[in-house]
Amino acid sequence: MTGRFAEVRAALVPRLLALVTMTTILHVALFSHLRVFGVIPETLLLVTVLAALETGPNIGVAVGFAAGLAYAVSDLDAPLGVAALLFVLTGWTVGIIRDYAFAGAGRVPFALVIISSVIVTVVHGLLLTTARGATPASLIHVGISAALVPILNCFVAIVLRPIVRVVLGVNWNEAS
Amino acid sequence: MSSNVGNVSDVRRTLRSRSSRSSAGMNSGSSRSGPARPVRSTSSLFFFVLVSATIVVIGSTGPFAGVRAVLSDALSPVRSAGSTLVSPLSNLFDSVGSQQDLIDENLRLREENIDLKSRVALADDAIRQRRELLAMEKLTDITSLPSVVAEVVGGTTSNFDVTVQIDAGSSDGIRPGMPVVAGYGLVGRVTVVTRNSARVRLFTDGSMGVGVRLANSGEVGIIKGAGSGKEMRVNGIDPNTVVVPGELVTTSGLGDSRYPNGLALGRVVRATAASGQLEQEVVMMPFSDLDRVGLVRVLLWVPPDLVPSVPSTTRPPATTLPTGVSITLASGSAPAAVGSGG
Repeated sequence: MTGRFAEVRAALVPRLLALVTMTTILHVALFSHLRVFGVIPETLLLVTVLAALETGPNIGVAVGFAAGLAYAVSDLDAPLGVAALLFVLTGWTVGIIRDYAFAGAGRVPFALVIISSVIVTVVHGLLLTTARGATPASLIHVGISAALVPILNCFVAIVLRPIVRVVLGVNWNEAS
Repeated sequence: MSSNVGNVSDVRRTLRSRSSRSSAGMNSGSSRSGPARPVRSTSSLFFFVLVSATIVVIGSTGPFAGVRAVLSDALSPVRSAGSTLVSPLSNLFDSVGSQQDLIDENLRLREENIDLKSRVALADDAIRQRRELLAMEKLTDITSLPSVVAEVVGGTTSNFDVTVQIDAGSSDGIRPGMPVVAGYGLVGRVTVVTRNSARVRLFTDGSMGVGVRLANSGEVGIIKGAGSGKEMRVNGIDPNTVVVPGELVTTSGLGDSRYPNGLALGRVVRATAASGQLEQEVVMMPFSDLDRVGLVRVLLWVPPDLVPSVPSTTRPPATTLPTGVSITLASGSAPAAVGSGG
């Protein structure tokens, strides 16, 4: 069993890297230009949430870690590791909720996308703005982001969810 | 990709069976019945949290910073290509919504152009006199500063900072802290530099503060960023100072300012002096939509407090970076970074 487990895990690493690389490219090249009232979708957070929703907490934390590092690469001003820490916790929490509370429910994934987007955007925004010296204007922007990111993420999820399923090899019949 | 190895369902089954065994060993009797508890996920959670926390602590100075810079450089072409592909679409949306605005702006600019032509003749002589005075006082003349022209290849990829990325980096002589201008108007300041790119924090970012001077009165104050395209309050203006709408606001360049003096920022929109107040409320509007600047110049000028100390009795004037001198703000490899303020 250990051999089988190691084999599966080794096969999974390239898939996770492919997923996060693909998402980062999509974010940098496309989604970061879709600005609504100065707010863009948090694509790397979204891929963490979707991976956790599709596969559970184990893969959720791994994708969250890789996506957090990718966030730091795409935004050189961001403190290194903060997004990774936050996304790891997000992937695990969403995966656990999915495993125990909502397995198989049709619309729940979108509810979880919205809730997790709000919470993570607020926490991440407060951490970053506090680190740089929070001003009333920056705090207001965190609030605006928390309101808009979930909506934008839901639209992006329509595109990203099939990609997550294909790259991670999720069985469509089982997953839906 | 999915042919010879199990899919994620296999992984889940494998992990769960291991979880059951682990759980039985650690917590006898508790997991014999019902769904397997995700003990494995807890251990992976602890592992990744630990690694992430380690990166947070050592990340900015450790080897990760160098890897990050290299990967970021690798993303630059993607960023540039995306910007090229998407900008026509976003420009189309903008133009549909602001057709009348464009007509009005065109008329206003024509009138302004006539006025400016008459002023240019007077300005030439004033510029010559100013250069002579600056040279006598050993002050920085922004028109004579060496600079590097760079193209803006992308905006921010985050919701929480107001930055742009340019296609010039340390290989072009750019260092953290250098001011970035469009024309002679301030755009922002270089914060992070990699070999072939740099990130510029716009002066409209909420974390930025700039020492300013009102052109007519000479009164100095400070502005704080309020976000892209938004009005900014000028703090510290005496209530007895006469401030008129339309007055030019430039960098003050006083003391250890992070910017040379005389870089244009915007114009005063309104000024209100309420009785009994220690300062009047002066509000300015930045000149242009800084998010949409295409070409910029990085002034090869380093703020005095970032210039390497020179064993001399006289402090150098606001300084251009001498050839061959490098500044290390962060130990380890690139990217070097600088904080905000000033």
